[in-house]
Amino acid sequence: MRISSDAKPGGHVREERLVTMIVDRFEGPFAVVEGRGRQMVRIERRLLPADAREGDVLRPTDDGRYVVDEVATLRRRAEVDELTRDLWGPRD
Amino acid sequence: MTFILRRYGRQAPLLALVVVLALLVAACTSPSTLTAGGHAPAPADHPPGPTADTPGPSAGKSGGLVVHFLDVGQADSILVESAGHTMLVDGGNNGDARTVVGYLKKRGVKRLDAIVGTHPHEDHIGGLDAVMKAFEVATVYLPRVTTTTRTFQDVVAAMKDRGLSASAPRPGDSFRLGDATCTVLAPESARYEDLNNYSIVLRVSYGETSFLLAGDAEAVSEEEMLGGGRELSATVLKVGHHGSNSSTTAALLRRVKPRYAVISVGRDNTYGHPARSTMLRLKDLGIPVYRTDENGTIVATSDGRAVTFNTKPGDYSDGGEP
Repeated sequence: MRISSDAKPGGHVREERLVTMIVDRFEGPFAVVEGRGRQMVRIERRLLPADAREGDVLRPTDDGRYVVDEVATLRRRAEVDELTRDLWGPRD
Repeated sequence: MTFILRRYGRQAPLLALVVVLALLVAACTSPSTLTAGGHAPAPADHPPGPTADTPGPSAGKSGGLVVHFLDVGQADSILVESAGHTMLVDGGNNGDARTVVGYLKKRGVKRLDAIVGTHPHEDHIGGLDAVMKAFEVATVYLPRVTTTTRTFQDVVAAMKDRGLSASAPRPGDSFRLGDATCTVLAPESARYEDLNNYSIVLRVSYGETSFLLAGDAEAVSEEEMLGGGRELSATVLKVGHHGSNSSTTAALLRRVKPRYAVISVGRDNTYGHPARSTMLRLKDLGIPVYRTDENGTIVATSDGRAVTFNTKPGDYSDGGEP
């Protein structure tokens, strides 16, 4: 997906950094997060917003916590919706 | 009739010799090496232990049913074989791709009749893209739900690459796998809070024996299965969600009445799996538990009347506090 009309070199790298952390699942007190290169990392759930959900894109904050990047999350969901549009047959 | 009987009667000593030889070969190739070499020191929750030895490649090819619970650490991957037909239920973590592909190749798998991605969590679908690239695949079953991870995107991309579409099975659907019948028990609903409950749950039956492969289905889905009025009894229960306390309710155990339980779980995982409550429930009911963290890869073989394992059961120890 193209990010924007911003054609500055490095723009893509910045975007990659932003969507690097995606919540895959929750296991007890941990969020299991897909990081760079699909490495899975564990993050204590208390460091995430209470309403964080599976599939949310996270952004680290300066105080060592994480917020949900709503825009990046919506963008990922739209991408996946597009990618999977014809994956299953029509619902009957 | 008498003629046939006489014929076999005369050949009985030869038959006995063949059986003894076959048993000797089996004894040399399977269990002891499995438990001994199963585990490297496990740092995190992704210890891809060395590939375990497997029973002779003919098992499950000429009839019967063989179910392999691969040691993929804190993840699931199950190979089902019957009469030359094969199905892979889940593909381990991202880091287990080589382990899973290697195991299938060692088994002589060329083609998979079915791949089931029980639900789109990384510890279940992680290695499936590699499997799709390495083997010819006929049908892919996925619940009708998506997630945003690149792990999931990789699987979808691999499917498109191979021209595969997904099939979302519904409870009550069934399909044949060699001599075995696979019946879908879940997911019952179209929407759940948690991806775990979207898990495709299968009951694989052969003769008088059956395996209930519960994916990560939790209490919500278990309750739906209990209310569905379908046959849930199973000789072997693949315990849901790595033995966590959110699955394997007492009510489910009462209905499934498993003779054996299998738990796919990573050694020293940080999630406290399997949960103390689950292990106590299984212990109280006297159900032997085979577990990949203690036994390595577990191979269960059914002749249609009974199920035998390649290893001795594990213990009832739990994963402690997460």
